[in-house]
Amino acid sequence: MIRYVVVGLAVALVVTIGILLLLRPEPILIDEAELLERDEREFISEYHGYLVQDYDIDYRVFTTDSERLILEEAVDLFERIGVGSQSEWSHGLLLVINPALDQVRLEVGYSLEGTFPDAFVAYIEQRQMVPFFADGRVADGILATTELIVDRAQRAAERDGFGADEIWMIGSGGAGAQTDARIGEGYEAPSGPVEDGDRLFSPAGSPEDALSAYFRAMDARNANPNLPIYSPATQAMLDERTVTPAQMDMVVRTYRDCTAEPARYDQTGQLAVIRYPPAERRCAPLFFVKQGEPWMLDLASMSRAVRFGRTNAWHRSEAGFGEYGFAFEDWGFDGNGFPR
Amino acid sequence: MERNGVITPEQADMLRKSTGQGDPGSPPKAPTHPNAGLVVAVFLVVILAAFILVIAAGGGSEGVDTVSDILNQPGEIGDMNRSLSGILTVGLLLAIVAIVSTLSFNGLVSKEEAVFGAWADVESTLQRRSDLIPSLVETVSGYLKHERETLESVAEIRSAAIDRAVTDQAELREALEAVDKLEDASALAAVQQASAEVDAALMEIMALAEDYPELRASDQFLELQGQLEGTENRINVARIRFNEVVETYNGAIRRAPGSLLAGLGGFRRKAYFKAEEGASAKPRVQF
Repeated sequence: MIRYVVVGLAVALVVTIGILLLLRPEPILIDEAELLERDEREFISEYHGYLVQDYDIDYRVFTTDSERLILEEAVDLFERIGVGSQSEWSHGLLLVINPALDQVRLEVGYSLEGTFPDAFVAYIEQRQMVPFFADGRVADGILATTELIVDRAQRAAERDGFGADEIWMIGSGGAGAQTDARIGEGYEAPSGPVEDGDRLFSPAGSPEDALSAYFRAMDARNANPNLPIYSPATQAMLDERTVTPAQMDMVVRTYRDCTAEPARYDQTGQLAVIRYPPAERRCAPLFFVKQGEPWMLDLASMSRAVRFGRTNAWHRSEAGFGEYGFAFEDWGFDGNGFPR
Repeated sequence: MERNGVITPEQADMLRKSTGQGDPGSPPKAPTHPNAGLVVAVFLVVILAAFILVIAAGGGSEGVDTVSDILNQPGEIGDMNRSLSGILTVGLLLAIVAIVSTLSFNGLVSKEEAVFGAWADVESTLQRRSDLIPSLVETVSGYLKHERETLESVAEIRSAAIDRAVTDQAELREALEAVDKLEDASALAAVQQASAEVDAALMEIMALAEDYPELRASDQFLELQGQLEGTENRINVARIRFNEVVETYNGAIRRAPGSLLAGLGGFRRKAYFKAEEGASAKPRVQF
């Protein structure tokens, strides 16, 4: 009798394990090509996991050394690993990176074709992802591209309801775009002159002038770190950074929609902050320093004081605003540093 | 484009016709099976006839004498049981045949519908590419006009490229309309040929931009390039999926029991939409 019970329990255990294995969702990131570090894999998985929660987008990443055409590989994978299955509305995206072929493809599911058309996908691949890849920063390229995907999803949601006009359909049919990945080839940011036609970027007589010059530079996709509108610390920081055309476009696009408050100065008159209403959470405050006569952007201090969350909303970092804290004395912040 | 002098009124007229504006394409053809009702009727008649025959053979002619004659006795099989078991056996066999045949027939119908559905996808992706031609022509030729308006040779090249794209597009449309029940391999080959020619014409227009780094680097061109490449990808995926469902369907009508029903139900072999030799390795539209 006991023998039958033991056998029965063993069979039940095996069946249960089998069912659990069958029901187990595929991981968000599969790094077959071993392109990423462990912590990078974990961070991307966590970040993309939030996309399902926040925007109902099931965004997977797959690296492979397969010799198949990347289009066929992506279409097959999309179906095989069930991309979109974790989304209520089958919103699926699949990023396939093939270092052996040096190609990358973002496959867009049927249900997201309206929100992420091929031209947009080609744009974020070539103007955002590939520059990071060329700089040897694959994980950063993936994450920086995800930020643009989030931005697009947010704007779609604000405009007419994200996914409202989408068809509900599982799978993909070749939508998206592919391009050469150029991993590790080296990247040179689009640069430009330190002068802006008739108007010099420097000297800026006020923080507002410096800000205006900054937006002009971004609009012209001028990533020259040596523009005189940047403080020396900012110039050194930008010189080390990967600045992409899409990032510059995003600065222009984001701040265009926000309403700047008048500049606030500290007691010495050497520091200033231009901030935006807390409701306009995508527009982070900008810091300025006066060194000599001209006002310059202090993006170095700003990058220490301000962080962006997964919804692209800014918040105060743990380090705090430091010497720029004077501009925020009338604001309250929640436990995560978001202004109230 | 016509207003801006990029293309002539005649080219504009041809472009409108070729892209289907003002003349919406006919929906994909999905013929019904005229013999479907016949198949079902034949099975019903066969089943009915079998019942009549079995009943006529097993009972009726000899009268029933006593209850004990027809009731089972230990170790015996009565007359009534023999008749009943015969009826049940034949009936069961016929029912199995009827069920299998019906399921098989319905399976063939579903598979054929899948073929028509997949072809509709192929058609729509080809149409999608056609819709890109006007904006592609406008962007490239508009830029060239702006850059080198005075050079006659450029104008001639541009005009020839536009003419070719428009003509090839019209030919593709005619080839698509000639496709009837997807059974004629030559009709699908003609579509493939016309599609390849449109492809070549588009590549020729894109190639006009080769000498202009500014145009190639522009976001507007990147957008068109992305759309065109995305459309080519969709065409490839639609073609692969069409061939897969055709393979499944063709296999089903050749294997038993589908092969027995195929002739009766009017199911015929479908043609494959073959890619050109080396199409999978075709260079991408990339500058």
